[in-house]
Amino acid sequence: MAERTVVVDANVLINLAHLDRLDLLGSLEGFDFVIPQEVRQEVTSAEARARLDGALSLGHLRETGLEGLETLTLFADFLQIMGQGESACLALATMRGWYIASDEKRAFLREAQRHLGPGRILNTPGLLLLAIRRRLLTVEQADEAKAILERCRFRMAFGSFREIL
Amino acid sequence: MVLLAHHFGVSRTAALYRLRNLHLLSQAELAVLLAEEEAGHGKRISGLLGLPEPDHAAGRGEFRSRLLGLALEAYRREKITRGKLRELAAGVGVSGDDLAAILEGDGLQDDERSVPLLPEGFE
Repeated sequence: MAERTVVVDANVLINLAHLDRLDLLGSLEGFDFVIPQEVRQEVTSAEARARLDGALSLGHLRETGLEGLETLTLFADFLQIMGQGESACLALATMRGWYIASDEKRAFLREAQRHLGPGRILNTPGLLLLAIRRRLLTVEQADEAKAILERCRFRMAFGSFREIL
Repeated sequence: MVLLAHHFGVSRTAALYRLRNLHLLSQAELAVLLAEEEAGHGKRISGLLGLPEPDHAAGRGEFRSRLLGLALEAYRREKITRGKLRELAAGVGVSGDDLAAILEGDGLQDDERSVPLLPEGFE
């Protein structure tokens, strides 16, 4: 299967770090997860940062950088309305034909869909669902993860992953 | 100059640079007046006139609330992303947790329940 490169925004990283399941990024075959430096800088809690550093050293995901005039120009354009990490992710995905993993909605989702086209965005619930389908998580484990994230104000629009399998 | 700065509620130094930008002061005049301000003449005259020193803390508070209000409105209208809102809020000392509480209070969190997004071929 051809690998799909996915540039991961800070919100997804923070969710998975909070669950201590960044290893899922390394276990989902067919995907290559990357983060730009701008995203890494947005992971500020000591615990999440330590878990991210661990995941990087284990190769669950890897770092990449913004390179080239066109990418940097696009990054600067996005900064008008987006944060640093979001801008870096969308500039990279747009220029390199990558996918994006982000939990942002509203303006970011609209801009990401406009620049990347349909079917090129993943989010935390999507990754957990994919992990269930690949038998990396049970429904019960995913529901427990959902409950933990909801206590941190990250809410999903369904009761249990069983409803959407 | 002291009265002018007091009238507009700005520091005497800021007023001097503003007047220079408006070409109402030459560079030489600006240098002389800045030196006098540095030497404490402006403060002494202000004291003799019985003028209170500008309340910078109040000014900062006003700026902070105005910027935060505008940023929240821009986010509500989907002109900026959550990440940009977070950066703007952080710039005026509002933490991510405080911002989340503000958004929840404004009802801007309620419509943000996530549905799974998957790449093409995995839906």
